[in-house]
Amino acid sequence: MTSATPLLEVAGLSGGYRSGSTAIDDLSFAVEPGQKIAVLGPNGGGKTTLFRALLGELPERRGEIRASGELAYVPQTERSRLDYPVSALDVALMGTYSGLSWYRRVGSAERESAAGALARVGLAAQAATAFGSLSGGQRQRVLIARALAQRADILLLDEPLSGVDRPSAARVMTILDELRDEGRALLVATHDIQQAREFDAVLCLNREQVAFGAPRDALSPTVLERTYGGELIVLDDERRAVIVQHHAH
Amino acid sequence: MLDAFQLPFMQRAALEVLLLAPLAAILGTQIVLRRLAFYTHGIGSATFPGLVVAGPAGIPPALAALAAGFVFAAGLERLGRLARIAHDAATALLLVGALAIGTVLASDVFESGAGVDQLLFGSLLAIGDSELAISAAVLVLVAITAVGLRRTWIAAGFDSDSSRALGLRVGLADAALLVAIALAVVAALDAVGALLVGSVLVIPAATARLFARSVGSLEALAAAVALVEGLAGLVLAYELDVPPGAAIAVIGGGAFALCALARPALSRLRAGRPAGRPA
Repeated sequence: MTSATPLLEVAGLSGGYRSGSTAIDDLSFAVEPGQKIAVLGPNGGGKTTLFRALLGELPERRGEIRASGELAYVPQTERSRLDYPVSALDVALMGTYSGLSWYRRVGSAERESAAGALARVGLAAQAATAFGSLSGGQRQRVLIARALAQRADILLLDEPLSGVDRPSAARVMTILDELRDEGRALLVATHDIQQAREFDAVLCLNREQVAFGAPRDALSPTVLERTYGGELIVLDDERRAVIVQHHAH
Repeated sequence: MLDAFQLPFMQRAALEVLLLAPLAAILGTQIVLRRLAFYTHGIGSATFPGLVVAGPAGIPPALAALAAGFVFAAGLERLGRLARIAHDAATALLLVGALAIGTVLASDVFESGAGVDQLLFGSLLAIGDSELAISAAVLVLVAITAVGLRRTWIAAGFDSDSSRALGLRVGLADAALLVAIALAVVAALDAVGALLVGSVLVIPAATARLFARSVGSLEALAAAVALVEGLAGLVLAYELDVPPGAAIAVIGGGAFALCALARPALSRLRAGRPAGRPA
């Protein structure tokens, strides 16, 4: 790991959605420029809550968050309306909205910025395509382009590979690696333990912080069992683990 | 047919249609995209008791209607929060309540049943200067609001949660949208009445939505549809001596049905495939 000044520092962060509730408890970690961090945890373990807290959207929040760069959130594509009449360029343009005065129209500078962001994720040719017509992987890349148009230094990605086929997932991961190499910091919520081993650091959450550090140190069977509880089966070689998802119906 | 527009009351009615068409474009688009059609219909119905009370109490009808609309919106918010019932169920509850109260007030309290038809279904042919002034004022207010908030409305409709993370003030924009819809409903009341506001604020945009591929084209098409349907309804009402609000609603409903039926064939033509062959 590098020893640069952190882009994001979190100290003793706790909070929840209602007064007195605790969805995350006492999280402390730092993210440096050029770091790609996996945020691992079970459903309801606090991954999305952590992102909401970082974005200042958690109603009840305690502790400290120091960000020395712009944060952007990249949601799962399933949360977006696929029937909405917007093109890939329209969605990328949304990243420029907050920088515009209320009376200003979207101009050529914003369009160039959004088009550049789409080109950056390899979707220049699909700029005019309806967002809902794109594949899952392409939609995820459009949402990443929206974060880039926002000129974000820190990207919070909520399970970006969920529901994406393998080739598309590999393409998304390549783009994330390139963004990391450009000096951005990435926090990526994921369920994939094997994939997390390839990240620079891992933050294991189960409402509280179970571990934070390099994957080879943090991803021990003990940590994984504490993180996933009964949802995890550690296989014989102690290197591989399987998460058994329990969905409420 | 165009001779009818030589008459002053037809000219005022046509001007009212011209003022309502941009509202149908700006707000109708958001109503359809944000799935607020039932809310819009609810606000329209909620104005009925206010309109019934306005005359005998000496209150300007637009003010009474607006007050009733705001009471409806506040009640909807409180019901959703306190009783924890679904938004559409709360809307239905308040809508039925408003119509019932309005009917009781009209028949038993104020004994003003003669004007109930006009309150419920409007009278575009009886539009006066004060109604035109109200519509023009609402259009200016809504247009200014849209200049500032249209982008946020679009982003929030696409994905409300993540649009907050884009740094947009979604809560403020959503509240302003609901108020703007209430104002537009009040502006449309004199033309189409409490029960048919959807014929101006919902049906044209819903028809345009069948074909539009962008928010901008949806707005432009909704404005054109609202204008054509409004003027056609006006002519139909004049020629056949039928209520203009109902004529506009019938034309709007018919146009929507025809467009919905024709859309698959048009889509096949656009894609260059003959009918009956699978994609």
